[in-house]
Amino acid sequence: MASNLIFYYDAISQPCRSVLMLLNMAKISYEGKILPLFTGEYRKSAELAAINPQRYLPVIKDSNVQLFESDAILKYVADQYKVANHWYPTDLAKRARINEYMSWHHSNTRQSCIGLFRMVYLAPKFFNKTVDEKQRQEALDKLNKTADFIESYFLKDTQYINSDNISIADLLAVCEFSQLIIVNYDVTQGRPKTAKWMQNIKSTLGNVYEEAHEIVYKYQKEAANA
Amino acid sequence: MSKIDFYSHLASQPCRAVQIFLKMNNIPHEYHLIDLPKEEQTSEAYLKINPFGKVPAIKDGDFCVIESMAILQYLAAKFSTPDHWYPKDAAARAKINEYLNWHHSNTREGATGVFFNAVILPKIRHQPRNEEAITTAKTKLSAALDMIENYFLEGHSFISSNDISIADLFALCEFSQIERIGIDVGKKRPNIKAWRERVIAKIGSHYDEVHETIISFTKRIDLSTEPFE
Repeated sequence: MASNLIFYYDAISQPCRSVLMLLNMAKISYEGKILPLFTGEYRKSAELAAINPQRYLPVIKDSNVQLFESDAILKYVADQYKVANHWYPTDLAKRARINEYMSWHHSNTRQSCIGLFRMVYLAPKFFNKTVDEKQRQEALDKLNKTADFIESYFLKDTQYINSDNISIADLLAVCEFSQLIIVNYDVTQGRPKTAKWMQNIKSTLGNVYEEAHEIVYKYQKEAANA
Repeated sequence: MSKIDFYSHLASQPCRAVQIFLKMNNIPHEYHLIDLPKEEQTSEAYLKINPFGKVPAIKDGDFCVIESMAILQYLAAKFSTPDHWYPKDAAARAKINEYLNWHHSNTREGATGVFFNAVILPKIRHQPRNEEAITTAKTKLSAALDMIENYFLEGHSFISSNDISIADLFALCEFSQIERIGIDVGKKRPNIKAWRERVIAKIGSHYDEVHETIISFTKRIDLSTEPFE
């Protein structure tokens, strides 16, 4: 079994939170190194650049491997650190269902959520960009289409994404949606299955969810008071 | 063992990746052409198989899988294909997954962005070229190629590995798409040039067979070379 897991992250990053919550739920021991994103400090890290030349978080390093891409990290940790089976089932068909969501996630959930978040929060906050109303509406339409599909397909017959139990697919998805509270957008509005799903996740993850999201609540408060 | 139902149109890059894998591993399958130009992917019948309305999809008996990467991950396990396609070793697999996930927002976004905006939009849908979108896509593609050249192929003969894997199929099929508009990904990148030749050599005769559709499809349109560095 690999050891000496080092996890480089900033909890304000959605994919970082997904990995953080898996590590904490599975009680895996690791050394956490926070590389602040908003201050740009992460760019100075030579350790980060050595693992990911493009300097995106999260990245991990253990005695076996060094790795970026949250999806790959979640799958590696689940398999290598022998977490409870529901996180990434070994049954062929169940695993295919989880892989299906995780593959779809990139160009859909991730792209639509970060697209909106960047446009209405990051660009104005850090680059003084004004929000173009037409583009904002397009981004919202894309996000709504994505959220509608999660409601109607991935949560159609199951409590969690394509599964009756929480998995790494849920960790990836929930963090994209939870980020949007900073910009006052609630994807669960008008989506009862999604609302129930988010409730289930928060209840299953308990304190692990709350602690991972402290930084999100902080920025949400700041944005509300601005 | 019963056949896998494979729903596809070979003008689609991920469909080609799946088709190459099926052929190279002699996986018994039934090919179902989904007529993209006629929008069959949004027909009631096909939406029952893939409610998202995209190709490829597979059916193994009653079990449907959508998303090309999930499809190949499933088939590799189900048919116990040679380990190099999707290694069982956790660390080796992690490096293949690293590329697969990075692919969506990098290789695919760049290459498909260029092809869509330079070919589909103006030549098929007869809409004006969106120069801003093309420039953005080219920048993305260039950065993706640099990363493949300097990181994913650094010290390896294939993507993050010394043998061919499903990661190579996905990258190769994005590049064969933009080759139709004269973009040569290996022109200024020797690692990519050598890698591409290696992968095509491994695939052998299946490569040309699988690419017949996109070649004849693009021959029918008036295509000019798209400038790219």
